[in-house]
Amino acid sequence: MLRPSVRPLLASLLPVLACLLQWLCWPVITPFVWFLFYPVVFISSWLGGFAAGLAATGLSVALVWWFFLPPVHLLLKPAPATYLNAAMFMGMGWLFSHFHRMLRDANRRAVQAEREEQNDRLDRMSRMAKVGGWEFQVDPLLGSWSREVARIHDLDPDTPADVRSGINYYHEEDRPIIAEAVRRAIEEGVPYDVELRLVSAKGVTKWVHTYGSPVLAGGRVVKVQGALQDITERKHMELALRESNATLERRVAERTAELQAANQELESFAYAVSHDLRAPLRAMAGFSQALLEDCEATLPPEGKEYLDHITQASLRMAGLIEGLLQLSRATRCELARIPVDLSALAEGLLAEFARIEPARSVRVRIEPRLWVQGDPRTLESALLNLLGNAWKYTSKNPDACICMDAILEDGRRWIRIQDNGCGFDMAFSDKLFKPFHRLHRQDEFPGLGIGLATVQRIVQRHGGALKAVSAPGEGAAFLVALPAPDYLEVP
Amino acid sequence: MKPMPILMVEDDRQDELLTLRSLRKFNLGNAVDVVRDGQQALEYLFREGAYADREPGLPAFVLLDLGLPRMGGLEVLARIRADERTRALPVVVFTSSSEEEDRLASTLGGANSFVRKPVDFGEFAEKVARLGIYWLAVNELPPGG
Repeated sequence: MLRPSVRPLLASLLPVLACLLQWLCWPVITPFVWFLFYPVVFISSWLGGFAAGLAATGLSVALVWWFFLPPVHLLLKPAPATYLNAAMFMGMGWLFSHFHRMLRDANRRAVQAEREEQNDRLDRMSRMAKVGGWEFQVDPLLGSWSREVARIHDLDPDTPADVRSGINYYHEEDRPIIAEAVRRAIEEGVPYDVELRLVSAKGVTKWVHTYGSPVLAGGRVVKVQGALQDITERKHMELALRESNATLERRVAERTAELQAANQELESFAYAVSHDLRAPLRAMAGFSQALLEDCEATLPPEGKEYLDHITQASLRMAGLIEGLLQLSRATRCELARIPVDLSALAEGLLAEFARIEPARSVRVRIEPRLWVQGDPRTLESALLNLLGNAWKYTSKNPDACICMDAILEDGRRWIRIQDNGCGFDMAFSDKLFKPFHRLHRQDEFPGLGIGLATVQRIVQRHGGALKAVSAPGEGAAFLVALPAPDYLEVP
Repeated sequence: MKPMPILMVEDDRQDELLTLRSLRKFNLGNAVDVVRDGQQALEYLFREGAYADREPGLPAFVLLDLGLPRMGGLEVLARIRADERTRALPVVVFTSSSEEEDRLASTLGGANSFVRKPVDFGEFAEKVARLGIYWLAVNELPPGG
């Protein structure tokens, strides 16, 4: 591509080439003296512009006049047709030049409009994203930036870039960071990408994200170009989020500490109950018994009966304490999470019940391999309570039956423990799992009212669910949903 | 030879009486020395302080409660096991506690038995009697006790 200043000159000289060619081919072209010069002027005005077109036209006329119009090599021509031809040629030359200029201008305007349209679009995008581009040349130190960069600085969008003062817009605490980054970019060619605070021309502090990437030529950095984005909103959200996270964590820590303290207290309470509450009971029961044994002869029958009541009450209270401890143990102890075969546990427990009460005949049906994920010891304690209830409440049924199987309900697997015992009225089912609430009188079925509360505590701690279905005289079914095991053991 | 005494470490007066009564019923013939806290127990065993003039010799076994004032039962147990003179002494932990941690800590601490005191007096008396018979008549002590 020729330089713009040389192009019109060369274009103006094109008629010389045409003249040479016409001179060589004259015998063929005769008598059309202007033949080659029309296209030449067209090309000259096309390539060289208006002035070059006119210059080429003038040169063409001079050359034709001198070399081809008879009498050759004379400037004065008497033939009037000659003047007319020359005038026509010059008119055409002017027309070519003029139209080419118009074409060229129209073209330039179109390109300009397109560019402006693009710039406008880019500016709209920049504005929305709050991101602008910039660059500066190292030697001499000259810079430019897009309108959005000026806007981020709260300057008029058309304000020209000033590399030297640009850095002063950064927050004074962050200024050393950007100064060092720019220095390394210029001297060592290291790109940078930082998030810093900027204080705008209006004194507003903003967070900006800026990156700069050095452009190398001949082994040294000639310019640095990059972009600048206003990230104030994001940064504020980030900071707010971090703040709220910190608050949340603090709150969690506080709650955890409170919970730990409460747990600690519960533990020492349970320990005290375990130790200290039993000793006085033992004294009451023990000395009542001792009194019965040692002073039997002098005691009236009522006296013996009263002592018997004292003993019974002490034992009952000992049972309550034991139940409370069991309940608190179900809350306190750490849980393992391993696969547990509930069927095997149930078989073992029921066999034990049968051993203790050999007189009872109970049909037992247990679906084998009911695996769950959980803590074997607490789950055994839960099963002990559930099966113990089934065992107890079927005691008045001569054809007692206890069965355990798995059913699907509400999209989950429930392990069902069913009996054909006396059952209970569902109207009171909300009291079923509350500690010390019972649905039967002591003279019907003795008990403490702690077993099902313990079961529920254990199931809850496993992340499971527990529910009961029953009707008086129609037996009861307890359904337990527990996490599925990680893997199944192949027997 | 005079039978070796039993050392009972018990701060509860009623528990003490009930235990003594149960032991007496079986006529085991051994004296029962009672101390009320952990500190006294160690003084008794090592013949220090108030027990400096005690006749030399160790008891047949120690009946040790866990919930004791000042020095707890587990610490007493640790001191007994740490001392050259008493490391082979039979110690029976006899407590109201049913806590697993207590059972584990006692066993790991070197207790020879862990026995829970039942509330029911019949059971209580039976347990005490069995303990006495086992440690005094069934079990054979190592030499130099």
